[in-house]
Amino acid sequence: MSVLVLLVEDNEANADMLSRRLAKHHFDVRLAADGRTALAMAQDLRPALILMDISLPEIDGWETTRRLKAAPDTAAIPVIALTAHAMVSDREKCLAAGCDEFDTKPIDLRRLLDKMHACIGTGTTP
Amino acid sequence: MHSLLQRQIRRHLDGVDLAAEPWCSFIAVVDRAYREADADRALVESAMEISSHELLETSAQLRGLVQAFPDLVLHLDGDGAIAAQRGSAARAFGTARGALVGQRLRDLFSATEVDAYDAALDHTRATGAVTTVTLTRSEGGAVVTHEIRLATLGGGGAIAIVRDVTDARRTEEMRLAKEGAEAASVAKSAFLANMSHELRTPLNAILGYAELLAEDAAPSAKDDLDRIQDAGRRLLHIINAMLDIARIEAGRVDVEFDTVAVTDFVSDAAAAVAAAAAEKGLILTAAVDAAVPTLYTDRAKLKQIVVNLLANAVKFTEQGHIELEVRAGHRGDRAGVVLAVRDSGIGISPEKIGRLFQDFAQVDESNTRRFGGTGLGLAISRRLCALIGGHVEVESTFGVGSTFSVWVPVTPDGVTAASDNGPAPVATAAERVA
Repeated sequence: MSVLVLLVEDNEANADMLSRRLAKHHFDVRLAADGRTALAMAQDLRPALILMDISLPEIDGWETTRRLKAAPDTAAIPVIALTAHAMVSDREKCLAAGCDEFDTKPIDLRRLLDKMHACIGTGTTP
Repeated sequence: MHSLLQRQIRRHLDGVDLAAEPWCSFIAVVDRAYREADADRALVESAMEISSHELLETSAQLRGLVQAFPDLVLHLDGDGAIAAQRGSAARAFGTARGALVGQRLRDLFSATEVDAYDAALDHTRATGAVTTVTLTRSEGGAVVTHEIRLATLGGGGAIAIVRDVTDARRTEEMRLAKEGAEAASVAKSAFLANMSHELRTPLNAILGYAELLAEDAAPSAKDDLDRIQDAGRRLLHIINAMLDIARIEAGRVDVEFDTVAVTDFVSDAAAAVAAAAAEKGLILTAAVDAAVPTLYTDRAKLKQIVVNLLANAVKFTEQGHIELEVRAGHRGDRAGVVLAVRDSGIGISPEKIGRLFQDFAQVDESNTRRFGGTGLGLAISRRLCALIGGHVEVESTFGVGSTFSVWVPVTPDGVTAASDNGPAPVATAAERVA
């Protein structure tokens, strides 16, 4: 049985590539291209995990995560921030916004899968 | 009766019966008037005495004040000629003390500046307001800047307070230049950080799709896809190295000093390159002298430096050995530890050794193709080394091998981000670098 994951990513190529790679590892990946859509989809779908790009149009990944974590229905869903920013301060900013984990692009799939499994194991699975 | 009145009665009213009226009352009134006048005079006299005393005191205070002024104080008459001078004019106008008296102040300025001076003096005379004008003149080859305050005095005269602001100006200019340089450095770092982000995003797609394709590809296509991935990873390596330099230069790298036992991380550092060395058939050894003292330094930074140097040695050595040797070593009179990485690699020619620690420099451009890499490893190592108060040097014999030595102080002393102003190539006598 596949695990439902919400991927929030505005870059179409990166969204397509990652969702296809994750599909091979038994994840059912749904896509949201911006923060507002992500908030609505998280509310409706209650995914097991959210992969959050940080540089999003309008509401950025930090703010989207803050709102997810502030809403009772979505607060328990683990969020892994994915960002092409690799400064140490970016990691701290992500964790301060309420992200459970942080990983940098380009994606190292093995490393990301480890983090995803760790998050789902400790997070609440619907 | 008032003595003056008595004298006047004797002179003018001799023989008059003053006890009879109306004389009696008249004399009484006059006597009272005399006495009152006396009292008034005494009052006026004492008041005058006080004020003249105050005047003297105030004048002495003013004189003292003017003498204590660092500025040159000039009293100008109605024609703008200097009537009196206090303070030395040596620095301001290159003339001896008192030499300005009789000259017109405006004649001391160049033709280009004199209009500004005239306008300021006219303004002060017309409005009575203090006017300040800043004038620059060349004095004995040096440019001197004066700030001149003009105020009116009674009788058409004026006072000019001339202050030499040359040093203050220079300090201000230097401060602005420093601020400008710092802002430029911050902007450069921000640019690099943004650039890194912009480069990583498409690279993520390139590497990800290549890996996706490789999973199901035919063996012939798999090789090509591996090349795409190798090239992509190398690009990522360059981006990461650039980001490292940007972070160090932006002062965003924190240094955490702690007690570090060198033996602790030497095996870790060697292990980091062991696989790469084994792949090339190189012998990797690490030796720590028993007398090596415990360091108070940043463990992670020191380890990164040593790993960088070891990786560099592996990269440029085709056969033979790589030795990491750790021993106690002084630099001047300061106790420290030397970590030396010795290889039997291609070596560096004397003329190229000085370029070694420059950003993006590989000693031979053709090496970039032969050995890969960014040419940023040594530049990063040098910066990290400066952060922990240490020093990197290199000795090399072309074709025989190189030794990179890191010296780290036992305790950091006045450690700052300031580097040693570049590399410190130490060559043997035959290879002295100019």
